[in-house]
Amino acid sequence: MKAGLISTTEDALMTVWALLLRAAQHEIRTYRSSVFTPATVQKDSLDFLVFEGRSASDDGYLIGLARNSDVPILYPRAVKFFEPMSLEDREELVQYGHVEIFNILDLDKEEGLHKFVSRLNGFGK
Amino acid sequence: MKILIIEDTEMHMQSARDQFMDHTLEIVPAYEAAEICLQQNTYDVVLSDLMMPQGGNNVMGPKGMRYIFDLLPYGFPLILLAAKKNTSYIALVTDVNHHDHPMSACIDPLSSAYWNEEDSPSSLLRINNSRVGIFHASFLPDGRKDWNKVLEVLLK
Repeated sequence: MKAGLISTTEDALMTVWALLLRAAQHEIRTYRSSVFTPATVQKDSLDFLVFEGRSASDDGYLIGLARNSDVPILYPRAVKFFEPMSLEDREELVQYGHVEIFNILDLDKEEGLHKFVSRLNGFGK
Repeated sequence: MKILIIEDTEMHMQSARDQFMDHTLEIVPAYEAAEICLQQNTYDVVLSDLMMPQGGNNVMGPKGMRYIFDLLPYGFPLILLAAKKNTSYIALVTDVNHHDHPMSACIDPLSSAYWNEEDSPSSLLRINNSRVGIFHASFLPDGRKDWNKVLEVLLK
């Protein structure tokens, strides 16, 4: 399937997500969050989105995406980098069945990363 | 003339390209790009749509980011910014019917409920050194915005 990989920064972690997507046999288009718009989903025929979260602003951006796009959105949230998601954001995101959040980089237990990889591998199959 | 069009709908962008072929034309589709253009360049004419998605996110915190893709009336702050920059001729031109969005209905008392060629000149405002119009769009037969009609009113 065709994935849109969105990030606020371009660094080694983004490369990891791209590699995981390719390993799962998905086609990838990468976008900076500052230029991505929901119209891009239709324009580039994206089947799903992966948006990496590393800050509270990214949580807000995820809500903006969820409100304006109905394709599945996978959100690997790098918990090591910032505080837990606010209650307000969690309550809003519950409404959006097409958003899936994965807590990753939690060094005590890396279940989130395993779930994320399994989801990528199973997407569209 | 040097014209800036701020418009996110492709067919209305195309009508601007077709109608303003003899001018120096720049088209941007969203608030952030428009703000940069207005801050860095000077234009004779600025014509802006009313509702657009994708506001600026440089200064957005978590709460603001929620609205980043919402269709919001960015046209209003953009025409005021153009006036602040002393652009000679400015217009806000919406294709949204006044029954379909409250922000479009807000335009009715500023000019009229629909494009009205006779009354449009009398609704022009003067802000700083700019002539400013706020209009419901006139349309070409194919449904695209008739930007020329707006420019004619501004230049009268």
